[in-house]
Amino acid sequence: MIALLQRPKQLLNSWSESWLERRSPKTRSLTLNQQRIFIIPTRDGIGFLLMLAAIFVGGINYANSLILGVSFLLVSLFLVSILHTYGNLSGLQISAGRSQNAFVGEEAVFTLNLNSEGEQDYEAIWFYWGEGKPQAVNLIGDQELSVRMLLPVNQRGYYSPPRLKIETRFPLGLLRAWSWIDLDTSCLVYPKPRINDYPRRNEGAGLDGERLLHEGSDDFDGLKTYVAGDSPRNVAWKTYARTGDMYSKVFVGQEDHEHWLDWEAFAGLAIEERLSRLCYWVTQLSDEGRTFGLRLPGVEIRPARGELHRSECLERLACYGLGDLDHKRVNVGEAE
Amino acid sequence: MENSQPIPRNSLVWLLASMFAGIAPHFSRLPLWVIAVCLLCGSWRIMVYRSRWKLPGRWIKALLVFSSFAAVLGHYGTLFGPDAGTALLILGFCFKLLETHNRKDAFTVVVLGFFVVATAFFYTQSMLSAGYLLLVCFMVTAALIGLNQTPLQTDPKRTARRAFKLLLQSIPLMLVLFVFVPRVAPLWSLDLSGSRAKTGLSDRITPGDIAELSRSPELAFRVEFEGSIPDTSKLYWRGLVLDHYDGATWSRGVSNNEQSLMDREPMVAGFNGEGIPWQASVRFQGDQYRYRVIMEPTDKRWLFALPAARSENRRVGFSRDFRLLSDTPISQPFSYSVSSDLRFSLDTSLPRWLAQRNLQLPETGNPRSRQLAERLLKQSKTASSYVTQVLTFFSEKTFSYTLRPPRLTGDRIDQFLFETRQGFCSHYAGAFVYLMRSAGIPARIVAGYQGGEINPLGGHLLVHQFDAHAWAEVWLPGQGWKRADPTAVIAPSRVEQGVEEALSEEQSFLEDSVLSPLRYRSINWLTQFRFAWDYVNFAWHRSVLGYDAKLQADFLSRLLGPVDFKKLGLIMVLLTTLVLLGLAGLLFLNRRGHSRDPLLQIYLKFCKRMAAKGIRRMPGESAGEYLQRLIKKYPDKASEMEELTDLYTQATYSSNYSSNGEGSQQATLSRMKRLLRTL
Amino acid sequence: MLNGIYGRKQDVSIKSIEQPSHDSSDYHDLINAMVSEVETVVMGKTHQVRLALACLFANGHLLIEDLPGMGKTTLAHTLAGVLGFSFKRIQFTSDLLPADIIGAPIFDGREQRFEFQPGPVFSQLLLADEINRATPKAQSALLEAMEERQVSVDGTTHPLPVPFFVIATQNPISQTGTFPLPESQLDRFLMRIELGYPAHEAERRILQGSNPRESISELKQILGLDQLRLIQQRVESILVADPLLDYVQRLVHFSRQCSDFDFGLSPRGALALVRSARAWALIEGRDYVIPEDVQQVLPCVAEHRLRGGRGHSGHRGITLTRQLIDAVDVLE
Repeated sequence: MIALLQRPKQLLNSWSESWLERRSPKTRSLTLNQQRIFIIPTRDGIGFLLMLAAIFVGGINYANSLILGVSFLLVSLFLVSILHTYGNLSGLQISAGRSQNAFVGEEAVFTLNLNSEGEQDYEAIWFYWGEGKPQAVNLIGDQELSVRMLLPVNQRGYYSPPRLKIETRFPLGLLRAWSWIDLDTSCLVYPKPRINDYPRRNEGAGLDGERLLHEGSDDFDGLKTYVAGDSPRNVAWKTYARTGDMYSKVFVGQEDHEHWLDWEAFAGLAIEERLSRLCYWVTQLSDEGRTFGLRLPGVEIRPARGELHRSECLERLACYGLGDLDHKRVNVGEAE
Repeated sequence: MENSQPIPRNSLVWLLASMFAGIAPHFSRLPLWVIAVCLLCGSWRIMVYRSRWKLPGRWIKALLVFSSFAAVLGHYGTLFGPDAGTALLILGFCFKLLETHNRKDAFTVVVLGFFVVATAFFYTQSMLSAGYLLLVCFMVTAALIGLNQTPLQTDPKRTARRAFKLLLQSIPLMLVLFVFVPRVAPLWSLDLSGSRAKTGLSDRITPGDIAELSRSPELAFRVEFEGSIPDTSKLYWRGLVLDHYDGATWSRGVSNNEQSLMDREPMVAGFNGEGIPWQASVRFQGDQYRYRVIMEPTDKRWLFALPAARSENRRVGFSRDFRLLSDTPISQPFSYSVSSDLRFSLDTSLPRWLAQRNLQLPETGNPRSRQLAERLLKQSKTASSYVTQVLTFFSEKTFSYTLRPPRLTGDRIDQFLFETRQGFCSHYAGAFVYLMRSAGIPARIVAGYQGGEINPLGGHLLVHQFDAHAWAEVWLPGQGWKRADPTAVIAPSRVEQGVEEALSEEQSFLEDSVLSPLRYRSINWLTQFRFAWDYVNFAWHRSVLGYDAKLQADFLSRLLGPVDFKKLGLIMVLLTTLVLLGLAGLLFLNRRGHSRDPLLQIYLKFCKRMAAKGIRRMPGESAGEYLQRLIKKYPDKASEMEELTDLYTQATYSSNYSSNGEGSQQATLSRMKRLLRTL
Repeated sequence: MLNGIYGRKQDVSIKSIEQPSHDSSDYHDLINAMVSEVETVVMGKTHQVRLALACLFANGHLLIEDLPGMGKTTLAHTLAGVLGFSFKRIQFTSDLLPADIIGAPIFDGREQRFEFQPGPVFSQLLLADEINRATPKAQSALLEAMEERQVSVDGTTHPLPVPFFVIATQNPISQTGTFPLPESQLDRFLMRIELGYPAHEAERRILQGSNPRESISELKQILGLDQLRLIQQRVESILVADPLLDYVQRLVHFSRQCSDFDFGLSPRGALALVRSARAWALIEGRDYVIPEDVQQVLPCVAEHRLRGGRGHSGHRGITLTRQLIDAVDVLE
């Protein structure tokens, strides 16, 4: 019985959903126009209409032209404000800007770029987006503006925010104009980092690797006796000038021991737990500027360091087991 | 956008300002304690705004509300009707301000604000106050806009600009609605209380008391004639008939034994088109004038018209003494159309009860006057020759016209006729009627206005309070009631040229109204200005305040031919849509305000034409690449397309806008247009 | 064509004659001669050769990125030959020291004083081979010299020769121990070009032809230093009209706003774009820039200055700059 009652509601919901989808398909950028803007009076607006009806009746009853005039003025105000409220959305160009990745339980940052078509000002435009906090924006004078919206994320993987609602009641609050936009934007949600001690079972893959020295050009290491064939540029001329003996400067480069963060190191834990721990270590080692590699089942990222490396490792962790790997970055090459 | 959000301070500024401005016009009428409460609430709110005080607690508010209800009830005796209602509304407006925490409360205050503006029109309808209340409307609108702005927006001037824009754009639509929305009859009958004192004619005349009336420069009414205007000497605007004399005062008073007579026949009839029982006693005999009188409020029912008048206005009735009367006291500017035949006969046979009324005199007093009447009556054969005798008496003796007559006591008529012999219209009219009645001829005093001033701008007549006049009517057998104006005998200029001329030696004309421009009629530009201002006011009264169902029907049928509700509704919807569309065009077309490069426009036209043929230019495609694609598809038009593209590219990119020679650009443009036509 | 347009064209050439120079069409012949001369050695790479010349005319440095054996070095050699430049080459390795590039003071035993011995950077055309093999220290020594066009050693400033033109090469496939150039330093290169595999015809001719080393030695010098300077001045005077700047700004703006790009073009990048487009217009024989010029140079000017946003580019097989060109309206 209840199911029977619920069915029409579901049907209605799914119908309106699909209607909205047809009416506003996923897009990167669009300009609000009459096809997308809906407008109806608010409760205040209805109250306002009732009030002016009362004034009108008063004007009729007391045969008072000026009281009638007031009611006509208010009707006109209402009608004109339809245009203004509509105009406060129409022509506004909205495009998805950059998004910032986030960890589970944090808020992802999405940027909306607003552009005005002409010299038009837009005031008190509200953005409602998923579970994010609604935000009001004025676009006055300057013709473009970026709005940063914070959306809480609860699941790792790629996150596409739901439909964005843009609403305004400006200028009189008597009417509500709004539009739904399905913006084609997404961000990556990394597993929630969990602080832990790295298990030291795998010898040689410990995290406290010693530093290995080899010939390089980074740091001055000392002097050695000049041998014919050494580059004259490496000769310590100042020493020669002082002592008359020829020495060559020796430089060394440093390289970290290659650490490996290994999926198997956390054997026995649940998948999400393992990912959370690895995630912690990826951020930790990256912050320390260390070189490390990542091994997940079926994936191996060679040791490297730097921002790109970090984000690639995090991406792998975020998408692990989600079959989302076709989103693989193009410029992985640069990271290696 | 939640309703529980705090009010932006920007809005609060406008809200407070509009509250004070909205209540200010009511100050002069409201009881003092209401004003005190208003001021208290306002300053409390300001202290809250400045974070000095806190909003009052619930108990204080409850106490305030309850006690003010009680006080209003005590003061007005009711909670309903415009006066008490307005007082309550204003109190509510103030109290609401004190409990305004969030947007929702503020919205209520805004709504109340609009109401306060509307109620102000119950009491004042002048053009200036309408302008002022429009300003208050503007402030309330600004407050409403402020409510819907974000707290980031703190510039009250910006809010004001927006409000101004909105109101300005609403006005055309308002005018359309004002003109076309059908004026229907009141849904239920309401009475505005007439307690407010107005200057004007009094229904009691006591000759011998100090002259007052003739000195007020205020306007009594305006008259718009359909054709020519009669001579000034014929402009006797009847308003009141005074037929009872108690030895000092002429009034409409009715003694007890006459009451029974009055009950037999109704004294007033003819409202809403119903019949008039004494219709037969009026005979219209031509010399007809049609005109419209636009009256200032008097709070009395009597109306003014030339004799013998009739009106088809449903609110206008007709009295037994042939005056026009309104169904309710005139509390707002009121206009009615009248037609008057200046040749007429009234009551050719006088009913006995009416004759008795018009022969009434105190039993005793004024012996010398009665002797005079007797003496003159003996010398005359007929009633009309007696009238002539009396008027001759006035002209032969040393009577003079003045606004500063000596005071009279005791046998006032005797004193005036034989001792002081100085007075103005009511002295003469009073003495004249006394002499008539003493001789057994029915007579009565008529009070009203005489003359008027023509405004050359509008061609209409202005009748001021100083034009007030009193004259007499005598009943002559076979002829009925005839006008007799003894003042005209003593000071003909009063009737022919007005009071000012009559008083030119005395210099007492408007001597109390130093600032009245009427006093300086000899200054030409001032007169011009006065006429202009009057004309504007006249138009305001006639076309705006007086825009009633009849005027609307007249106006619209003149404009559109015969109208009915259906047609009217259709036209209204059509016009409203047109105005809104025009406004939308103004708002939205203006937006693509980029003045586009004419070269680019032609080139885009070219692209559009080609797109229609099936090859659309991609956004990232340059003119050259597009050309290549086009040539592949239409090789026969290659040379034209190439030239057009080359012209566009070179003209656009091989010179800066600034260094563009006008002539060569024109040449390029016209060449491009020609090429475009071949494609 | 209309008289009016010719008239305007004449105005421009009058201006250019005042700065001792010829009509753009003269340069056009000269440039075509250069291109065909280079093509006798580097076959089937007309576009890349012209880009390289544009880079030179715009007074910027060139980065060639491609696989080993694609003719990067040959191209650099050939250009040096055609231009008659003094030419030096540095092979970047991981143990290369900054002193190996810019030079070092050497103690003269007889004179008992230090004497600055200039490094290979003191040449008109410097080929920095496999630049990403050197350590960041060595890289930045070169890149600073490129930027400032002078070298400071022990408090003494030594100006680099004029013109100073660096052609750097790097391998796209990196091996362990390479140091990719950071974005900030990539920015120092006006253009980055890829040579790519030669077309079928061209490859056949390469296979049929002689050793390119020998051909290089047979090259004719076509452009003198003075002429190059004139050409560079001419590039500066190429007209960039307002509508074109509008287009460039739209491109730049889009790259900054669109989520396809992690970051957009810097003002320096935009400037580089305009400069390169000017040089390209000159090579095309025009004295004003049109949008096609911008579109032609955009991939090599902007590609290395942009970074794609996640998940949006690459896998569709479209380069970032192509996306940029397609998305931004030329006309508006």
